Amino acid sequence: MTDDRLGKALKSVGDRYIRENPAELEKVRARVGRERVRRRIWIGVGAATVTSVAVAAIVYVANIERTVTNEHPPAAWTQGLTVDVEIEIGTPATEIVAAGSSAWLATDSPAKVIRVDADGSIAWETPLEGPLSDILRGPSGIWVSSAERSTLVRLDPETGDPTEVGLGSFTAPSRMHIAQENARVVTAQGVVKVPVGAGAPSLLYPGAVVDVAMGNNAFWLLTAEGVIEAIDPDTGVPTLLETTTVPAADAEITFLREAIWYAARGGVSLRRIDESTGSTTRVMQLPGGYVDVDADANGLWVITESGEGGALTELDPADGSVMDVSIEFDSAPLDLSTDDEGVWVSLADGSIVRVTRDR
Amino acid sequence: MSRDRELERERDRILTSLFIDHYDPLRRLAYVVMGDGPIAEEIVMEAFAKAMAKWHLVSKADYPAAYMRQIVVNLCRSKIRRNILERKVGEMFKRREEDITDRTAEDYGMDIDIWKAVQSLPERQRIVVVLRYLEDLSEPEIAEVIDLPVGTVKSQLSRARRKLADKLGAPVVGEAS
Repeated sequence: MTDDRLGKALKSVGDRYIRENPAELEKVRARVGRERVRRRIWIGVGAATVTSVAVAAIVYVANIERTVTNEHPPAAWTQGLTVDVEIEIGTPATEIVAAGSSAWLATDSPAKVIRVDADGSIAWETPLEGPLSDILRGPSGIWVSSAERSTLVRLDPETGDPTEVGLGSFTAPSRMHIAQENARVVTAQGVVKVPVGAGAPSLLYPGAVVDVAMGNNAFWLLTAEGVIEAIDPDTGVPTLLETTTVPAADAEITFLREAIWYAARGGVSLRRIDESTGSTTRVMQLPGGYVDVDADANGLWVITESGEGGALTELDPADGSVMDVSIEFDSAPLDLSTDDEGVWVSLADGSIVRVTRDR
Repeated sequence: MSRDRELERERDRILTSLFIDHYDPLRRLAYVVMGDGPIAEEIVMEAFAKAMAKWHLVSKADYPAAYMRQIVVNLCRSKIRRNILERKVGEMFKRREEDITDRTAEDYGMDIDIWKAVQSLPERQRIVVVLRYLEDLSEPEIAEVIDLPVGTVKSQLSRARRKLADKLGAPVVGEAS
């Protein structure tokens, strides 16, 4: 038996219990009430405290339903966010990246990159050889990788004109990140620095890497062994003495506000890992199975799937609370990306939505 | 007056946030430790009641959610240690086993063996295993939650792994290496 199997078994039993026994509003209300009376008798709680407990209970009760019955959230739950753009592109976009007031989508059937704008128009489409693994926006253009074909292509963001980028002897480019003008690309040999101008690609970090994130002048790696490391984005030298072991390597990481945010694919929680100590300081429960996370200046945006559909949730990184559970989708969300004012989400039914805050 | 109201509002806001985000995870933790749903519910409600009563401590905690988890674990330990509840828990375990055997094997698969093996562990080892593998806490974090030295946590985890390996007939990877 593996540690992983033991953890999965306990989580399976615990999660099943929670699923099969959703918290009952009236039961919780009664218990809060009983507790209030008990305290009044034994501790002599003053009227002000009792009132505040009652207020707290009412506030709890008002919020419990939305916490424990994710399948049927009340309409009020959707306040604060608006879908301001919805575009049908006819085929699912597996990867999406946004910047300014545009988003660039990578589709697989057929393989192409599409630029959509916040006014709902499609600016251009460029066919490529797929399947496509990742797409990102850098200062010099839109980068698209195909791990299966070992190709890396840079597209002009305005016109969509493609330019193939040489990878030398490196193969299978999958995840990417742009730092200090140059791309960092995860390949079969490790993380490779790919210069935009002259110069050959160079190996920055040897070893199997699953995902990468950039933050606080460091390049963060999640290795296939389930270890998070930080390296200098230019030299590859480790910037932290300690590494952090996480429960599963089949996961993703992102960086926001002095912390690494980690989520296992298919899991139901998002974990905050302190960048300086490597310790887990918070585990946030998600309203469904984790699909993807991205951050903007104000918060964490998470898409989750539940049954045939899913949801976009905004979490407050300061205390882990749900800021807005905005949109419940009838179709499964596939990827998301934040721009200056909103969040783009691609859906399995071949549509793209852009969500903005009302406030 | 307005300052008091501000403090109350802040307390309610944080407690509400704690409740929204952590009620189910805490319930899950208590359920896996205790093996019984109603007891787990009571423990979590009691934990929130304690948090209200000891707000001055909760508000000073660096991570209130971690503080809540600590309260829940302590309440679990306290419940297990009480003889009366020990008997009740035993009866509940019997009922739970009956429930499980009533279900189809497809519902639970191999999880039953592991679940039973974990439930059979002594209180401290069970809690350490649950915190390690359900909550994904590190050994130092577990030590903080149950207020024991890290060395004790390690030895308890090691013993628990050996017992699980004996019961399940296969070594636990973490122990073998």
